[in-house]
Amino acid sequence: MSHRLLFVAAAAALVAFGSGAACAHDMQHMTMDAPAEPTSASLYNLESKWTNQDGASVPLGALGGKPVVAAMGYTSCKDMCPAIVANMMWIERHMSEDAARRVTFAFFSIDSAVDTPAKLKVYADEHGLDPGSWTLFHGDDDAVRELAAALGVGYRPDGLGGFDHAAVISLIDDKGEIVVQQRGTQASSDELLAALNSLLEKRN
Amino acid sequence: MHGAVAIAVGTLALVAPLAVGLAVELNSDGMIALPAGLYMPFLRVRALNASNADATAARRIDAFRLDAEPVTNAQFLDFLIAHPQWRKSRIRALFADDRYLKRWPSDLEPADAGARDEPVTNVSWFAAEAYCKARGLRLPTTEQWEYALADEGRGRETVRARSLEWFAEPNGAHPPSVGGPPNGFGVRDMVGLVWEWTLDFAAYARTGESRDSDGKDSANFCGGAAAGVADATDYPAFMRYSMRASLKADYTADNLGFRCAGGAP
Repeated sequence: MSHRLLFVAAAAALVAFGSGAACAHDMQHMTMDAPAEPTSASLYNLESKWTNQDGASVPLGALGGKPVVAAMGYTSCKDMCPAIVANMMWIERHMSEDAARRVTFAFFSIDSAVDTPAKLKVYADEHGLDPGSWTLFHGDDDAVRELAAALGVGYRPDGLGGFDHAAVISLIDDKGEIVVQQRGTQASSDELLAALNSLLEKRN
Repeated sequence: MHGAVAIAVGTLALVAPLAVGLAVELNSDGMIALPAGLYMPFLRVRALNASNADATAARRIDAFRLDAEPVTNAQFLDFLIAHPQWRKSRIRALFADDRYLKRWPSDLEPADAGARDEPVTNVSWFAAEAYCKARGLRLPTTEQWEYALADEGRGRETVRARSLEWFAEPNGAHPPSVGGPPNGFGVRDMVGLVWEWTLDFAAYARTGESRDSDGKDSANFCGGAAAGVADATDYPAFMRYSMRASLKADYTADNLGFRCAGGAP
């Protein structure tokens, strides 16, 4: 089918439901072992720099070597972000203490203007996020845009100082490749949790 | 509010029905300086607690520069010479799918001899953005791109007619070369050659997850934005927005190209 036909189908969906349909188009997963350099499909090919809640500068690639449960949002978000973080905490709670320590829970703020590292620190403390396994990241507009593009997280300013954004929790393996994504706050985290446990078993 | 702006646009179209005799500012770098202006977005997005007035107000677009034409194969070749990591043999799978530069027989060989002035296609968002960054530019935002196309209401029917004509054409092996007639701003080939990437294409995407069977945005988008359209008869605009909604950043296609934008001169 030509792309134009796909677009017509998408347009029809837009007209019918008031929302565009996304073409199924899966990311290519190449599996090559290249310890020094990120694998071809690795998120760690992104050169974006981030600052963690303690104010330390962290390249994205520093997350490599452990599985990561990652999401994007912003701390002043009242609607959906608490649900995203709650879903991530649910995943953490449903792992053994030992297993949870071998995972990084990463929250990337899309609000580069407001979510300073200090603010992220307060947010982490208020939510009781274990600093041993949780990292909250502040990045500039470019870093946010690139990571959101790579994770397939749509977002836009809502005109009221906040953002509308997609609820996506991504499981990333130790090489930086996306294993599975959970989309929507209503979705079950069972699949992601099972995939995470399976990743950890393989590493044993 | 909406009506008032529509009337203003209509008046403008009467005053300047044809884009002739307008002073066009073409910089030596092939970019057009577009003036600041008001623009009525086709697709309205508003937060649940925003007022209707907010949601239907015209948007002010700051002055910016835009490539007069889509980026060509010849221009993209220059970029690849200087930036080897974006050649098709080196591109990381994260940044482009396996149809990246599909028509190029090899790394530094754009299709055939006639393709030099054709828009480069089969480029991903990442590659397009890297090209623009290398020039000290960005991809245009969706609003900037749509503002350039809207052209202060000039030639609106021509754009719609040309769009429909283009949609009806079968997918050719090659897009035509750049160099079509300029619109009132002096911008060329906005429709009829290729679809174009925008910086924030994903801002208009829905996640399209069948899991959220209620079909509402609210579960997927923080804030539960409500969307509406400015003109339900503008079929080509539906096409443009739904095309963007179908994209992913690593996606490439035979009829998808780009142009770059920059700040005011």
